[in-house]
Amino acid sequence: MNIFPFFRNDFRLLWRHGFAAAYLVVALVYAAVLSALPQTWADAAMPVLAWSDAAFFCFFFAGASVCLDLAQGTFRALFVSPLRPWTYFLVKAANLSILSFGMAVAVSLSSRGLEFRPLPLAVSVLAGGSPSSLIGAALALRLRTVNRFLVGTIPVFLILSLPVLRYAAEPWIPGWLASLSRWTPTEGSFLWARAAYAAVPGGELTAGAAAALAWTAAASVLILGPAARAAEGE
Amino acid sequence: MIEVKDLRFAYPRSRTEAVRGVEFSVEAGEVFGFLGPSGAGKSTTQRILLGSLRGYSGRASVAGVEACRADGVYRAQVGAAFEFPCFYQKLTGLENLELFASFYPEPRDDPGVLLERLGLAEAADRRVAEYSKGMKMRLNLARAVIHRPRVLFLDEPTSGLDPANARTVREIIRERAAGGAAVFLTTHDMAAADAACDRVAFLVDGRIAACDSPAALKRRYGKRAVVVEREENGTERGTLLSREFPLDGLGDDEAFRAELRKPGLLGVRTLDSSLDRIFLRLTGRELE
Repeated sequence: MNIFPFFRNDFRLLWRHGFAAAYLVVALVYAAVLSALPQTWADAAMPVLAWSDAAFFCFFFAGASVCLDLAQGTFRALFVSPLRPWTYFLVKAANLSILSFGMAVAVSLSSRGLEFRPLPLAVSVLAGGSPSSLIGAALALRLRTVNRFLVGTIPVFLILSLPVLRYAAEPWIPGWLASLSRWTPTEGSFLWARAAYAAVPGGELTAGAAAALAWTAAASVLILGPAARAAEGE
Repeated sequence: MIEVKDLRFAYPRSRTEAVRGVEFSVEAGEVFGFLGPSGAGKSTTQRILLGSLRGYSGRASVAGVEACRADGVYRAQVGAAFEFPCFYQKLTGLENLELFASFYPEPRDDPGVLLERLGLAEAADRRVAEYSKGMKMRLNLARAVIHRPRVLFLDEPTSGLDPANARTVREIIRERAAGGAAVFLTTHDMAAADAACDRVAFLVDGRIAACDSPAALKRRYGKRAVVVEREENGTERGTLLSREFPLDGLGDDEAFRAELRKPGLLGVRTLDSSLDRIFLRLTGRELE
């Protein structure tokens, strides 16, 4: 099966539903905020903003996109065709990751010119976008509507944010919370986002990539798989 | 092409079975009507055959492959049009059709030709959100047949269509069957089933109450008689008089002939039963 037409149409839908425009608006806001900050502050904020492009936006937009499919009833028609759920979710995650990468690059260019490393940034987007998209999609399959998704995912959102909390306030948060943040699905992505703008030890980056891979696999098998099977049977 | 034997299925957390020992088969080139009220088990049977529901007992196979083992090859042979058309509202009719067609291997029908045939050529580049229900129903059929499936599952395919479009849809269904497809048609519309189906099955409470061709069912359950209707002369507005004669020996029935010779003859009709009446007689309930 040629998945390119689905890839293209999913991107078209992201555009027509306004997700791509939302990325654009947020990128402009980020750029404006960074330009207003002193350079040291902007440099400190840059990894957080770049990381949030994948970790947060992939999470919310994958969920919203699945909710839209549920509302339009297109799942039934999609899954009686040879298209399999994993292809569907892969395409959604890939498209959102591409948008996130574009946004992160644009924001980086606006703040630092060419003084950033695109490869770690790309790894950060992949490492954050993959598990976040899959978890967002799986939760959307369970929660089913955009409203319930926005409210019901607040606890997950807070957990995904823990690496940033540690980054910004490690001396002031309890040790257990700092430790917990190292085991979140977005920790690996955040390490790579920092590596795009500053030196991070190779061992930490390897561990971060492995953790992101493990989270992606776990999210696929343990969360998304059952949710997709349940949705397919409904 | 479709084989169903002693099919049973109960939804999780349900004490009763939605499908209770259903058996039927549909040959290539046959249009098979699956008729029954809401909750009878029609959709459940269809979803099992589409490979969407697992955990059934008995046999449900399409082209020799068990539905619980449905894979890409299985699904590529199947086309489905659901009762409520579901499309990407922000894509045009043509974009939707091309997208869904892209999931299937060649050969496929030309989307433009199919849309033209269904009277949607002018609306092809409009977003589906702007389509009327009838237009979505026609697009629904186009999506189901575009990859030339060997087995077609159609749920209320003429619902919400005007007579001309309903006829076009029936023609396309008959053409696909003539081309070798097995068509599994689920409907409440007995007249549509009568017009389109080679055989029908009445499903009630998860069981098949009767299964045969519409003509055979009508013969079996209809009354073998004719009614002569005439208008009595001499009255101001004309009183309608009806008289019934048994079909057997009708040619030699002098009373029948005499009735035909009387003035004011309006017509002669048989007392064939309709599928609605047969369903009511067999099941004791009406189709909603």
